[in-house]
Amino acid sequence: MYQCGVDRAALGRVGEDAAVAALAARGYLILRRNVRSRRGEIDLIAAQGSELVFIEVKTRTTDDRGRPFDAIHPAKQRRLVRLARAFLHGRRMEDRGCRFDAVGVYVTRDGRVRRVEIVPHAFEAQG
Amino acid sequence: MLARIRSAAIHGIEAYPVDVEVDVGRGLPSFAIVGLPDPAVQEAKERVRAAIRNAGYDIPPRRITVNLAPADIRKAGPAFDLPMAIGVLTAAAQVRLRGLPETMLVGELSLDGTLRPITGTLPVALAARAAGMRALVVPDRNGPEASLVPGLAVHAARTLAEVLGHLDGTALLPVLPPAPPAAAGEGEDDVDFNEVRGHAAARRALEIAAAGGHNVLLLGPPGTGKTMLARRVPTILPPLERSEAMVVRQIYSVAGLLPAGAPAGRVRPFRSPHHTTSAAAMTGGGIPPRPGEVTLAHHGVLFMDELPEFRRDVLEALRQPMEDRVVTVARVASTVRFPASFMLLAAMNPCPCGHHGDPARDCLCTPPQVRRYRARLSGPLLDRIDLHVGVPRLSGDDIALAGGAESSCVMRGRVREARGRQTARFGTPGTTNALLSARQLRRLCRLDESGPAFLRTATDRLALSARAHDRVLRVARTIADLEGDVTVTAAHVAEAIQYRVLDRPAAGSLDTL
Repeated sequence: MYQCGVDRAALGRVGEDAAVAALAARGYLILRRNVRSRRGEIDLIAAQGSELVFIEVKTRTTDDRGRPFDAIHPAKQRRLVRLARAFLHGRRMEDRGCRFDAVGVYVTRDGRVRRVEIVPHAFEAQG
Repeated sequence: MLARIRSAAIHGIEAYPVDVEVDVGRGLPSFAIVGLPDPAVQEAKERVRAAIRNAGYDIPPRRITVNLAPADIRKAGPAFDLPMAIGVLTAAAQVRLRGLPETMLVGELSLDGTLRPITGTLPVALAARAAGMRALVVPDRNGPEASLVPGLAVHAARTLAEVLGHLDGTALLPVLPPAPPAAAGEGEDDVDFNEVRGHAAARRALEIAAAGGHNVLLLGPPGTGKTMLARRVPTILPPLERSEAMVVRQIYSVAGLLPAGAPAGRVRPFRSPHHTTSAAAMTGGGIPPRPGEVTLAHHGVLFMDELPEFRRDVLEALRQPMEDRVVTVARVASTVRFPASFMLLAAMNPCPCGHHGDPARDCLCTPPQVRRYRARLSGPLLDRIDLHVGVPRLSGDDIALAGGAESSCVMRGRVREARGRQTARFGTPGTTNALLSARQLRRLCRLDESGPAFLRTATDRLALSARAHDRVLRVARTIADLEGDVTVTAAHVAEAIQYRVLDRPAAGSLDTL
């Protein structure tokens, strides 16, 4: 679905590397990358202060398909909440203070990072 | 950490205390409201979030749970926004507040943190006092309404920040001075009975109706002054008792009609719903149930112009409140009782074209049309109307020769005296002859020696129903009260029978108008 010439996996990789760098600069301690389970993947897990932060990274070259954060729609939020819940449960950390952040990475066609936008506390679990 | 804020919710025209409990805990961040909230309460999340941020605080990424206790009654409306916001900030230890246990809070928040007025502030203030609260914080536009309740420190706030400043003691809000109770003379009438020419019989009938709280039907061709007469009935009614005025204010508070939409001071309410009004708007309805026209007319007058044009279900829905003086609105979630003790004032044309029985104009209706038109009013409804009054077309001479008519003030004087006699007899103010039960009627409406025979003959000749017979007695009692007589005489009964136009045998009734 991406335009020809752009390798989706490579683009994602570029975006995540840029996100990790930007987050580290903001004092996030990156704990895990690409935590996979059979239900899906959490892009990044970090610690900031006393809080555990689940981070979703979205990378875009153009705004043709909407801004990166538009891709974190309610269904995706619910999926991420489920993944986070399972992660915490597996480690008996249900009482750990945590939150969900989103990172948008803007990349040019030839793979240079133009801008990284971090949204702390981007969404919450429902009800 | 847990915070508990006192608030209140409306049920019918009363309020009951609600505890807004807020827990801010660890775990996946979320914001949940439990305790049977309706959609408007659920949406409070977004308003509370934005208002807190715009007041200069932030909502921590924690698991926030709000419980509205008692949890078994459905909570409606946006009045919990303020207590929720205060609760979240307290539970998240962002602020340290004093005086919360004895302060009740209500108010809707806008996104920028300003407080919007809510409906039903007056019952909330009454509930706060009854629950032993010392203070009540309300949105500033609701301040005057809340200060009607003495014995409660009312603070009016414009914004969430002002409420926080008040509760943490950095910028106390002043206590509103208690509002004086409505004065008797307040609210000048802009109409008066002295503007009505002629119609001596109708004026007399309306005076009787006002004196005894009787329901009236005005019958006459279009343009003869039925509406004009009806509009002036409130001007001859005695002012509301203080306790009655409070209940009326409470009703208008819940309906969101204070202060602009409510009658001023102690003037009795006058409601004139249009004939396209639905049954729910008439009796009260919606979720949560709000008072309808019959309740807005409580302790006052419900004027229904063009009575047969009202929908059949609307007319039938009137029967229960007319009989019981309350209207019960049953919903799946709850049953609400609204007071509905009103004086029904109805007006109608004698036939669809309006000229039946008019000596000057020809009626274009066929007899079946006339019958159908009148049949729209069911017998049980007509039975509940004590006085049927013809309002005929006045001739040129009638209008030209009509002398200076009496003013409302003079008529009101007589009405008050007659009501005073009823109060002395019943022992409770506000009880009128129209409310007499059949048993009280037999005890209190003693006829003198000529009365019983006269009434028996009249009942047989006019074929009055048993209920109509009782109506005649009630009206006769009021007529006697107007004259200051202790016993009801044949003359009183004779006048009362005149006001049963529609009970007379069909042919007769059609020609007498």
